[in-house]
Amino acid sequence: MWDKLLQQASRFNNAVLNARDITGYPVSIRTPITADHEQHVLHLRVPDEAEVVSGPASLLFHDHDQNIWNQHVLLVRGEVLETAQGWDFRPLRLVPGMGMEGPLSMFRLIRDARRTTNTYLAKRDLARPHVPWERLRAAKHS
Amino acid sequence: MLDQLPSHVLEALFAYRTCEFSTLAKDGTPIAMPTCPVILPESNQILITTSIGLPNKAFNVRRDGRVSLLFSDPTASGLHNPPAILIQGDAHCPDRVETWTPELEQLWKMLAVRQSPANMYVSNAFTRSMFDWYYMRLLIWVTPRRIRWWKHGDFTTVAEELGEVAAELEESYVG
Repeated sequence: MWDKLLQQASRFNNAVLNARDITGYPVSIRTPITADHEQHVLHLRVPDEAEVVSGPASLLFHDHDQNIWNQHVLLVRGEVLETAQGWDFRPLRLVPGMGMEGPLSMFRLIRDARRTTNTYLAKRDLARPHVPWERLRAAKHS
Repeated sequence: MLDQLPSHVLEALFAYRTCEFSTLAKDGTPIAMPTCPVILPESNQILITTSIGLPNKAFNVRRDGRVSLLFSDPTASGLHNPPAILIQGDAHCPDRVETWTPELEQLWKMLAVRQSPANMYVSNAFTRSMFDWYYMRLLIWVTPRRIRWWKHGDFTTVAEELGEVAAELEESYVG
C-alpha cells in the first residue's frame, strides 16, 4: 500500500488534510507532504491555529484543468498524529477516485452510480424522477 | 455572517471553482471530496449538492451535520494567490430528490460556463440515458459558524477570522 500511495500521490504537489479540531468539527488544511520511508508516515505542516487533534483523518489529493475537467482524485484514510517534531499522517487505506486508475475507472463510476441510484429510489419506494432536459439545455446555453 | 466578509474574501469565494467539502464518515473519520458549491450570502448559506448515485456525503450529513469547506485550489479562478478560506458549519440534507430548484438552476448555469465539457451530458438521447442519475440531486445546506482565511493561501501566516466562536472568545476576554 505504501508504494502504491507514493506512486499515485507523485502527480500532486500537496494535499488537503481532513481532521477534527478541538471542538469536534472537521477541519481541512492544505499542506506539503514529505514521505518518511522508514516509518511509512507522511510528514505534514499544520498551523497551530487550525487546532487539529490527533485521531482518525484523511488526506485528499486532487487536481483538475481550467474547465474543472480531467480530474484526478485520491483519498487516503488513516490517522493524524502530533509528534515532538510536528504532525504525521499514517495511511491505512487508499480510495482511488476519478482519473486515478485509467479509463475503466470512469466506466466503473458510471455503472456504480446507476446501481446506487436504483437502490436509493427502490429503498424509498420512489418513482424515477423526471429530469427536465429542456430546462437543463436552456440553462446550459443561456 | 457571509455578508460580513471583507469584499476580497467574498469575491474569492465566488471565484474558486471547487472546494474541499469535509463530512464525518460513519466511523467518525473526516472525509473530504472536491465539489462545486453555490454561495448564497443573502441567506447566509452555502449549497452543496450531490447525485443520489453518489450519496455518501449526504448520508454522512444526515448522521452528523458538522462539516467544513476549504477553498484552497485557485485553478481556473482567474485569481493570483487568493486567500485560502476555511468555513466550518452545520449542515442539513432533506431526504428529498430534486431535479430543479432556483438554486439548482443557478448551479447548472454556473457549471455550463465553468465546466463546459459536462454540457455533453444533456446533448443527446444516449448521453441523457447514461447520465440521468447525475441530475437527481440531494441538497446539502450549510450554515457557517466559523470562518477563517489565510492571506495568499499561505498557511504559515496568521489567519484572520470571522465567526461565532471568535465573537464568543472576544466576549469572554472582555467580560
